[in-house]
Amino acid sequence: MNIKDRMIMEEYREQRDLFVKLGETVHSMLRSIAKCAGIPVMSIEHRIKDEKSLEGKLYRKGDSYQSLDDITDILGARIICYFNDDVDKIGHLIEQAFTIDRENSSDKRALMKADSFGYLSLHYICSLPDGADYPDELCNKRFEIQIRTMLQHAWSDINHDLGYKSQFGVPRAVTREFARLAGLLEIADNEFVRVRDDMNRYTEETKRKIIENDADDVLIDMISLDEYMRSNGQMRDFIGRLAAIEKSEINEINPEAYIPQLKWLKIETIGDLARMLERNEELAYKLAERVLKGSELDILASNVALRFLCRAQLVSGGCDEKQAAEFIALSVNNKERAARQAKRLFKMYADIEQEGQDGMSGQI
Amino acid sequence: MTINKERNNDTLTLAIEGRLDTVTAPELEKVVNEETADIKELVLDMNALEYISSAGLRVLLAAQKKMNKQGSMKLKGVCDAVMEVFEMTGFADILVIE
Repeated sequence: MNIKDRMIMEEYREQRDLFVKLGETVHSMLRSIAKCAGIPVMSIEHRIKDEKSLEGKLYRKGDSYQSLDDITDILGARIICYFNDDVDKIGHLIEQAFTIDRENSSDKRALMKADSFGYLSLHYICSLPDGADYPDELCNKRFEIQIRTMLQHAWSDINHDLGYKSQFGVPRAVTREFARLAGLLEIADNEFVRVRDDMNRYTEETKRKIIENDADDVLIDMISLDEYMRSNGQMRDFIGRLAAIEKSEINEINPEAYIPQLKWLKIETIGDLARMLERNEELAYKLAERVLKGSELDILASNVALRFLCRAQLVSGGCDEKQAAEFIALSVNNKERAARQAKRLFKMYADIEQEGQDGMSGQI
Repeated sequence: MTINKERNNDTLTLAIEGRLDTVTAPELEKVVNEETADIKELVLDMNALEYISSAGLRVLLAAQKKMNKQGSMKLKGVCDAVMEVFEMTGFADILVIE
């Protein structure tokens, strides 16, 4: 190691604590950027280059550096995203939040030749923004921020482990394998975006159909059922009636757990569910009233509407007690308890029917 | 109501005994707020819990929401009477019950 490199190493040891402080500040800013923009990220990480790694860099890069300030990755931070279009969104936010050293920043994606496949990542060389309330000694330090997808990260990490820093020594066949994998992962990254966009389109379309009462043929799944429970007028009225029994507050929860139960009852589409509600609302309400009235339970989950509707469908749809127990066991996971509940359900149904008949004869 | 606490690495087990109602729920709420900051799993042992009211359900709901963000929460040893309350209120679909 020459004198200049030894001086750089000495500077590094003196300033290491400052970089640790800077790392914490940058990390917290990145976390806040992703959170405020609502962009899901797999991880945000940062590291301070260790002594051995810096020595290696000085050895490899020869005369490139005159002082520690010339080395821009003593602090390196990285944001790993799920989707490749989020890389640009986060990049844009980073350009707004930090002072960017354009000359030394690079978009490895744009630098890649059109017919090559390899390392893809967006790199910024930054410093803390001027005019903000950061200590002066932190503001003049440059650092690197890398943004990439989790697949780009996997490729880069494995590539790095197998010899990134001595590219010239990697056998041609291995380089070719890595290029092929990079191409494969680039396609996979684009496909994930397409799947996400398709999913969002399906969700929007399903919501529109349900709101416009045009969802008769829409199959029941976690999206359609959730939207139906949240926005269908008749279902909301029913949930409201249940809440009124004990003046309960309603906690909206995803009704996904009811999909197997609805399938058991052969309720396959939103239309089937709407008709089940129409047929059974009164009976379901009476069952709920018997269970909840006087309980002083003034908090309910929105799913109770499905619970009582399914039970009303069981007893009014021709199931016997044994079949009802089989149905209840889908959610109760204890056959004896399911059998007890089925028995109680049929008893309640018989009482409701009897009361109905008594009421009718009273009127006559 | 009594709450016995047992910490094992990232797991906190709270064994709740007695009644979880308007009077006692704040006590459980306090324990959950004060002792779960750095844990990954919260286990509520309900073997000796005899009764739960709406106030108890609210504390469990808040604890579940908190633990969803930092790990997981599960209930074990739930007796029939308490289980019935979970089922009739729809809380059986919110809570993880072993």
